[in-house]
Amino acid sequence: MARLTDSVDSERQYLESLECNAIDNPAFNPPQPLTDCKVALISSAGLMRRGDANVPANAADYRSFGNAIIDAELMINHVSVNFDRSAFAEDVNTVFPRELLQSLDDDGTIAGASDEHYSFMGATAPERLQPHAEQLAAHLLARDVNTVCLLPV
Amino acid sequence: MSALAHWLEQAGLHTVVIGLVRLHLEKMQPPRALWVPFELGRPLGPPTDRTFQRQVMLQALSMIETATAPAIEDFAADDPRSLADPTWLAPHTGDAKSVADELRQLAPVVEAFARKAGRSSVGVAGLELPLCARIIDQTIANRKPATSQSQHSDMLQFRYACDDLKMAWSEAALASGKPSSRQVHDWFWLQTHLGQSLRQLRADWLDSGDEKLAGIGARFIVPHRWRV
Repeated sequence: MARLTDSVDSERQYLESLECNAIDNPAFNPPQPLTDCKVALISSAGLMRRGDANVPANAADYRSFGNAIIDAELMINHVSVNFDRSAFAEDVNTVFPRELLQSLDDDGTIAGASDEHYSFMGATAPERLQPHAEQLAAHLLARDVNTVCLLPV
Repeated sequence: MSALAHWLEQAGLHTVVIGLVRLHLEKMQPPRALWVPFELGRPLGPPTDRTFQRQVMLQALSMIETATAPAIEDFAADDPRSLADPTWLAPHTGDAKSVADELRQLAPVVEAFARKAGRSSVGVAGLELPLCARIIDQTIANRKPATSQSQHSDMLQFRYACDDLKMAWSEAALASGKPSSRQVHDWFWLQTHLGQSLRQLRADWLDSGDEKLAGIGARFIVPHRWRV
């Protein structure tokens, strides 16, 4: 259904109308072997831990999920009603594949899985995320994470 | 997410986006992106299918070692769970006269799902489901959000109660079989009392003359596909 041709008219028009402003000075870092990649995940699902404060609809900051927080504690708090949440209900890995990434660490495919992964509120205007993204980048590099897989919902 | 990828890459990290809307990837040109032809909300594709999910993740991560310039690749396979399960039977909801009544009918199935899955994704409202159901019944009856019984505003409490009830109904639908999301959502929006009531509430708010209710109704209650 994420093919625009499969969407209903109002959804297709909405997705086509979303502003996607180009980023100044785009960077591209040279290739590196997967066996050198220590990987963190970032979801746009507005994830929250059960019992924590809700994620505000326009939140620009991110939440961290260390390995001590298990999948059973995670809930989606995204403001949009226009994406399927039943897959998350059935399997958190469909949205936030920490278990899958750990298996790639365990079998040596990657250098390692980060011991923390992250979530933003995907509906927030991108320009408001920039200072938090830059802070997160510094945090990741300080933890020897060099690779990020981003997973929009 | 593509903007985030740019800023993280500028800071020295290698990034790859697993994107669901190819048009957005083409416009934003993140350093590396794997477009997957799956439904919004499931970037890894079929739930519980680790073999398939691993293929998605490996193709995405492999771009870190193979791409030499900004690139978008396409994942070739469709989500096998997008196909309807012909053996799936929708939970029976009878002729519920209220959301609370429908919850009483579905509660055993919701509990069965939680036992099977070992978890539940219900809980963003921080309220018990029967109270969420009463909040929605009152909102539907009065055509305005019920008075908050939590720290949230009336409208925010309505939204969180809706989110929890929709999740509980989804979990009921997943208690047996492997339905496609289309089966789950067609059942929810077209056959359940809760789904039909929320569609009617959206229509009422759009016609209410109240700018705030109309704005919420227009965007934040019913997904595009089930708005007509």
